[in-house]
Parts: sequence; structure tokens; C-alpha cells
Amino acid sequence: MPHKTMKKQLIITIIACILALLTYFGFQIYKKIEAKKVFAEQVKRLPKSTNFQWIGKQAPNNDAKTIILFFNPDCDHCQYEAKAILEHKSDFTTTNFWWVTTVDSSAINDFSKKHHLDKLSKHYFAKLPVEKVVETFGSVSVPHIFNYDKTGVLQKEFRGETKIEALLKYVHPN
Amino acid sequence: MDSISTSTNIFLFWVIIIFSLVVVFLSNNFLISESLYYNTFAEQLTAEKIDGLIDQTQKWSWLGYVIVPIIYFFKFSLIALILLTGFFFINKTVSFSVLFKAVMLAELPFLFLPLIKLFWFLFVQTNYTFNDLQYFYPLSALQLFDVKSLAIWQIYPLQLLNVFEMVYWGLLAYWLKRLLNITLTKSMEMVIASYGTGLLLWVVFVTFLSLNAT
Repeated sequence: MPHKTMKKQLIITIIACILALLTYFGFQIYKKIEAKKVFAEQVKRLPKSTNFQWIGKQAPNNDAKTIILFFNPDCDHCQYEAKAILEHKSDFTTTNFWWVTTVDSSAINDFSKKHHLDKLSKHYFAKLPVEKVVETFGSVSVPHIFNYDKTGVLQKEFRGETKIEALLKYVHPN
Repeated sequence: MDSISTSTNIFLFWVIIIFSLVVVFLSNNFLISESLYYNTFAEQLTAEKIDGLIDQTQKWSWLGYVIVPIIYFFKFSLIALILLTGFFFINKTVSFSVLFKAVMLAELPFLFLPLIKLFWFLFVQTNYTFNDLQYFYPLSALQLFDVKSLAIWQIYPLQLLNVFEMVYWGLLAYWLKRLLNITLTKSMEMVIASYGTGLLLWVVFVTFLSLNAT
């Protein structure tokens, strides 16, 4: 008899654990889906430049095409991106670049100097704390590129390393 | 009797593994080509980067073979363990090796799935990308939707809702009935209560992971 009672208790415990797990994961899934919907809507418009902590000059919210590029100075793919953009700087004369990262300002300065981006007028560097990145863009990888048109509407989002031709396709659509 | 059962299990396990390895080999050699990489990544990556990616993939391709027996072993063991737990609660003593055998026998229809995929992309849809290969699941609910319009987390649950899975449930119940001398109703109840619950938890967990990974 005690054996039977123990088994019954075990079944109830297992069912309770399964229900608890399903509820937990279900709730987390729901929360994540809702958050993703919000971020998906949010990134469709160019964020206000005042939301960023600019290192050096502040980027304008003007009527120019804008590319927001999330990067990390240590990431090889980001370094490739910086090098390639510098090589094609003449193709981006009307485009603002917002280089955004979570690392500290000295690492940002080192990166911009190393890749000679500090000498280019339309390149702006900003630091954004991780929680602010999540609030503004949801989950981002590095490099992660958002391509906005003159009116601040998102044209294309690239996750990971992206060749210059792909970026130019949206900068010079014709 | 036990040693016969164990040898049968080992034999069956390796038949499944060898068959799967052959299919992986055929897929790697006939479906995955350099042009597939270019079709998939050319829009975003330069030719040099794609070549680097191909080199890296070729370097690590052996991993795709090594992982096959490991995945199958864990899959069969986990399902057998879940079923064993179910039988424990209805006070029926069953051996793990018999359950392992039932799980392997029920798996057999799934072996045709990669063959259908191979046939489809070799002879029907000859122009394809990695995404097409990844999301191809014949006779599944996924086929009712345009994959591009779906979020990544929606894909796995829709893939899982397929005819092969239904056949799997039926076959698992059938082999449990045959190997354990129980009624089909009883074995079906067991499959639904134990395997069904396990699968539900698994789907929810994978959905949770894929949402967090993206």
C-alpha cells in the first residue's frame, strides 16, 4: 500500500513539473514573440540620434540615407566591413554611417583611427549600453547592418558580414 | 533470450546508422555543391568569403558523419526511457532493450524521408538554396505555408506536424503491442501519455531555444 501511495505522489509530482515547465516556457515564448513584434516595428524607422551616446561628433537626423552598423572592434568581420567601406568611400558620399557598439570609448576611438574612419565626415561613432541596444533594436549580432533611406524608412537589414555591392544596392537603387 | 534481444538491437541499430550514413554521403555529394553555396550566399558575401566558407565546411564535414550514431543513440535511449517511465506507473515490468527495439522499428519509415528529399532536389526542384534543403519536409504542415513569411520559431512545430510522425506514433504503438503482448488500445494510450508528453515538452523547448537564438 505505501508503495502505491508513493507512486501516486510521484505521478502527481511529475505532472506538476511538466505543467510548470510548459507554463514557464509558454510564458517566455509569448513574451519573446510580443517583444519581437515591438522591435520589428521599431527598427522600421530610423531611431533618434539623441538616443545614442556619441563619441566625438553627434550624428544628425537629417534627410540623408543612413546605415547603422553594429560592430565590435575585435570582430574580424567588422574589420573587413570597415576596410571595405573605406575602400568604397566615394560611393557613399551622401550616406551617413552610424557605427554603434557596446564597448568603451577608447576602443571605439582606436577602431576608428585604425581604419581611418575618423577622417571621414559622414562617419559617426556611438556607444550604446547592451540594455539600450535590446530596447532599441531587439537582438543584434555583430556586424549587423540596418540600411535606411532618406526618409528614415528601413530598406534592408543584413545580419553578419555583408559585401559592399549588397550595401550599395540600397544606397544607389538604380 | 536477453542476449538474443541485445544482439538484434545492435544489429538493427547499425542497419539504421549505416543506411543514414549512406544517405548523408549521397546528400553531401549530390545535393551540396559549390554552386549551392553561391546560390545561397552570393547576395551578401564576396566570392572569396564564400570560397572560405566552402573550405571550412569541407574541413569539418567528417563531423556530420560522426554525429549520426550519437544522435540516434540518444534519441532512441530517450524515447525508450520515457516509455519505461510510463510503464513503471502502470505497474508493468518491461525491459529497456525491448522498448529500445520498438523505438528503432518504429523509426524505419523516417529513413525514407531523406531519400525523398534526395530524389526531390535531384530530379524535381533542381535549383535550390540551403534554406530550401533545410526547410523541405514532405507531407508536413509546413508545406501549407510560404516559409519566407514565417518566423524561424514557427518552422519546427510545423515541420513536426507531418504524416511520418503520425505513422511513427501508430508503429510505435503496434510494436509495443507485439513485443509486450498488450492490447493496441493500451499501447496507444502509453504512446500518447508518455511519448506524446515528451514530444510536447521537446517542441516547446526547441521553440523557446529558436526564439532566443534569433
